[in-house]
Amino acid sequence: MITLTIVLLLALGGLGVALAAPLLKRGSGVLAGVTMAIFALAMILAVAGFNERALIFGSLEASPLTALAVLLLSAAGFFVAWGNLARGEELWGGPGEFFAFLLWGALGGVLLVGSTNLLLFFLGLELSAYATYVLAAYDRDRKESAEGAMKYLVLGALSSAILLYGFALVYAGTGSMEFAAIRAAFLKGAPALALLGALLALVGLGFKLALVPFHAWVPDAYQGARPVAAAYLASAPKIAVGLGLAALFVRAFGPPDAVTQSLLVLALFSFVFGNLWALAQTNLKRLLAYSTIAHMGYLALGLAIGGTFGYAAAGFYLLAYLIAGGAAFFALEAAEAAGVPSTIEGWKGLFKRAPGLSVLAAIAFLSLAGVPGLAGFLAKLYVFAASAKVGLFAVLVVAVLTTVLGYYYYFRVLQAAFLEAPKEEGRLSVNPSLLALLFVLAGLSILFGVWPAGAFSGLEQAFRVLIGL
Amino acid sequence: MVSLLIFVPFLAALVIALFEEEDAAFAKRFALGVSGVLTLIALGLYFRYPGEGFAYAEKLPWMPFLGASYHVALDGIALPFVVLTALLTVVSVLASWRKKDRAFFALLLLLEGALTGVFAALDLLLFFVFFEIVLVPMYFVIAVWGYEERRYAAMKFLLYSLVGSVLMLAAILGTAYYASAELGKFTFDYLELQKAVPSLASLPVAAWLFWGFAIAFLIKLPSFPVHTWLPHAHTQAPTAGSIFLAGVLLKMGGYGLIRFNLGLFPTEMKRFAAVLGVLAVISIVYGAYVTLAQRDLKRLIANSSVNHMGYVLLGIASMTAIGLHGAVYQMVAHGVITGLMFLMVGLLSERTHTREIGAMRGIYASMPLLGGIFWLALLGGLGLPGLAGFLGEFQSLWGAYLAETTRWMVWLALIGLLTLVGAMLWTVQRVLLGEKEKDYPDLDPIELAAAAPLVVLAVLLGLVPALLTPWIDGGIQPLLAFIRGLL
Repeated sequence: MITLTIVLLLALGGLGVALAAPLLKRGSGVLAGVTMAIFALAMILAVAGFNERALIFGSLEASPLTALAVLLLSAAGFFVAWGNLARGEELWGGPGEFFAFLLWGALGGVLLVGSTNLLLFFLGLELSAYATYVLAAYDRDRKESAEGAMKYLVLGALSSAILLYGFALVYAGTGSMEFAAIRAAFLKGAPALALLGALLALVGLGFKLALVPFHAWVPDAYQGARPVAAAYLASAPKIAVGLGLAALFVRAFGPPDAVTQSLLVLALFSFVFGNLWALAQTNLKRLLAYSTIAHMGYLALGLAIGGTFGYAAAGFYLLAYLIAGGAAFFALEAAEAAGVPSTIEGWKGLFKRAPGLSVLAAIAFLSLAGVPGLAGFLAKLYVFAASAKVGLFAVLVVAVLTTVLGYYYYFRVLQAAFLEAPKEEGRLSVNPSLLALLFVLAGLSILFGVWPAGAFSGLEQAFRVLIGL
Repeated sequence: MVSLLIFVPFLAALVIALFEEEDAAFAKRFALGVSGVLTLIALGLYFRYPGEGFAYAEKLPWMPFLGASYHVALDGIALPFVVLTALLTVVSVLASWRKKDRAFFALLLLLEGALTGVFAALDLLLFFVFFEIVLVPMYFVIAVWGYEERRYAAMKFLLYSLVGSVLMLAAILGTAYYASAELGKFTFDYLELQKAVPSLASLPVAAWLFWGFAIAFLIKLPSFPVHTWLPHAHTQAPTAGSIFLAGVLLKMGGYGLIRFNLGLFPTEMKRFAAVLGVLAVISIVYGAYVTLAQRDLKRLIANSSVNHMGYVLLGIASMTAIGLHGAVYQMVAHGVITGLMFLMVGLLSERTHTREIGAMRGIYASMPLLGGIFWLALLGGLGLPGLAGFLGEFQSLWGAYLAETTRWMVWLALIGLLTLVGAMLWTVQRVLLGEKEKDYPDLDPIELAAAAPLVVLAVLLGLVPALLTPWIDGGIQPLLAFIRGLL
C-alpha cells in the first residue's frame, strides 16, 4: 500500500502543482517548497515501506528496488527543486510546469523500475523522458537551449522508437509482454528474434544512458539547458534507466551473454572516449557532459557484470553521481547567477571572488575525479572490485587508467579556479540557497565517502530481492 | 594511539580551515603545537616497541561487504617513518614560519595524517586510500606556493603518481581475487593475504600483480626510468613541500616495495631481482652524473635523491638481511639529510633570491651557521662515515654484494658513489667556499630550531646506529623468516 501511496502522491502532487501555478502571482518559492515537501514525504514513505512486497494492479511490483528508485529519484527531484529557488522567478511562462514535470518525471522512473511487463516499462520510460524534454527546453528564449532541446527530443524519440521496436520483437519471439513469461522463454534458450529485440532494447536504453556511440545529443543538450535543468538531466533519467535496466535484465531477459557483453563493450567505449573527449573541452557544461558519458560507462560496467554486488556497485555509482554531478551543475548555476560564465576561462580566479562556492565546487569535482574520502572514489572502487570479482582484468586495467584522464580535466578546472588570478576584482554575491544546497551535497559526498556501509547494505538488499536470492 | 596519529592531524587541519583570520598567526602556532605533541606520541610508540613483529594493532569493520577493514598496526619498518613524518611536520611548519596563508598549514597537517596512514595501514584498500589522499594536499602545496613553473610541476607530479597508483589498485583487486580461491573469501587484509602467498606464487599472473605494485612504488621512489617527475616537483615545490617530498613521500615507494612486493610476492621478487637491481644501478650512476651537471641548487639536490634512492632499491633487490636493513636505514637517513639540504637551500634562496649555483659564492663566510649546517648536510649526502648516510649506503652495497644476482652491480654502483662524492664536494666548493661577496642575515632562532632536530639526527644516526638498527631488525627478521620458508 505504501508504494501505491507514493505513486499517487507523485501523480496527484504534480497535477496539483500544475493547476495551482496559474493562481499564484509570484509563487516560485511556494511551488518549490511544496514540491520539495512532496519529495521529502515520498522519501520518508519509501524508507518506511522499504521491504514491502506486493503486486499493484498486476503490473507494478512493490519491492526494495522500487523503494530504492523512489529514494534516489525523489532525492534528485528534491535537490533540483531546491536549486531552482535561486532563479525561479525569472522562468519564462511561470514555474508551474517545471515543478510538475519534476514530480511526474520521478513518477515515470518509479513505474519504469517497478514494472513487470514491457508496456508499463515503456510508459514509465516515456513519462520520465518527457519531463527531461520539457526541462531541457525550459529556457526557450535562448537559442542554444532550443537547439539542444530539439536535438535531444528528436534523438530521444528515435531511441524510444528503437526500444519499442525491440520490445515488439521480444513479444514476437516470446509471445508475451509479461516479464515472467519472457524470462521463462529466454531461459529455455532465447529465440533469435527475441534476442535481437533485447539487443535493440539495449540500444534504446543506451541512448538514454548516454553511452558511446549513442551519446551525440548529450553535450548540446547539457550546454543549452540551464545548469539546474542539466543537473536533472544528468541525474534522474540516469537513475531511472540504470535501475530499470537492471530490473529488465533480471526480470525479463535473464540476460543472455550476447546482451551483457554488448553492454560491456558500450561501457568500455564510454569511459574511454568520454574521458578522452572531455580533455579537450573548455566549456564547463560540455566538459561535464562528456564526463557524464564516462561516468555512465563505469556505471554500465557495473550493470554488465551484474549479480548482487555488480548491481549494488552500479547503484552506489548512481548515488554518488547524483550527489557530486548534481553539485557540479548547481555550482555552475550559482556561478552563472553571479555573472560568471561556465567556461574554464570564466572560472579563473573564482576562489578569490567566491571562496565558499569554490571550495564546495571543488569537493564536487574531487568526488567526480575519484579522490578517496569522497563518495565518487568508492563508487569507482566498487565497480572495479565487481570486475575483479568476476576476473575481468583487461577491462579493469583500461578502466583504472582512464580515471587518470578524469583527474586531469577536473584538476584543470580547480587549477583555473584556485591558482589563476581573477580577471575582475570584487567579491561575488552567491545565492545563499544554492550555497546551502552545495553545502548539503558536499556533506553527503563526505558522509557516503567515509561511511558507505549503511547505503551499500540497503542497495545489496534491494538487488538481492530482485535477483531472488 | 596509531589512529590518533592519523586522525588528529585531519581534525587539526579542519580546525585551521574553519578558523577565520587574516594572517596565519594562530594557524602556524596551532599546527606547531599539534605536530609537536604528535611527535612526542610517535616517539613514545617508537621507544615502547616490543622489538619484533607488528604492535599497536587496531582493527575495526569498514566495508565488510568488500572484505576491507580499518586495520592499522606498526612494526619496526613502519615506526621510523611514522616518527620521521611527525618530526618533519614540525620542521616544515617551522620552515614556513613566514607564510601568511593558514591553508598552507592545514595542508601540511593533512599530509601528515595521510602519510602516517600509509605507513600504518595493514589493509590494502586502506593503504591505497591514504596513498591517494597524499596526492591532493601535495598537489596544492606545489601548485599554489611553488616557484615559477609550479603548475606544470604539480600536474606532472599528480598524473605521474596517479598512473602508478591506479595500476596498483588493479593489482590490489587482482591479488584479492586470486587469493580468494585459497582463502575462501574476498579480503584485503595484509596478514590474511600473506596466508595465500604460496598459492599466489604458483599463478601465471603473479608477475602482472607484482609489477602492478612495483610500478607504483618505483615511480614514488623514484627509480630510473620513471624518475622524471621528481626534479620538476622538487625544484618547484616550496621548502616545506620539498622536505615532505624527500623526507617521506619517496619513502612510500621503498616501504611499499618491502611490505607488499617482498611480503606478498617473494618468488616474483626473486625472479625480477636482477631487473630491479639494474634499474637501481642505473639510478645510482645516472642520478649522480645528472647531479654533477646541474646549475640550479634545488635541482641538484633533487637529482642526488635519485642516486640515494637507488641504493634503497639495490638493497631491496639483494633480498638479504643486510641489504634490506640498509635500504630502510638509507631511507631514514636520506629523509633526515636531504630534508636538511632542502631546508638549507630554501633558507638560502630566500636570502639570495636565486637558486643558480653560479650566482652564489662564499656563503659559509657570510653565514657561518647556515653555511655550516649546509656543509654538514652535503657531507651527509655524499655518505661520509660518522653521518647517517654512510651506514645505509654501505649496508645496501654490502647486502647487494652478498647476493649472487646483484654482486656484479655493486662495482658499477661504486662509480655512481664516487661521482656523487665529486658532485657534492664541488657544490661545497662553488657555493660555500670562496670570498664573502655580500652580507646576508644568518639563521634566526626559529630557522635554527627547524634545522636542529635534523642536524642532531644526522649525527646521532651516524654514530649510534643502535637507535635504529634493533627496530629495523624487528621488522625485517620476521619478514625474512616468512620468505625463507617459501623460496
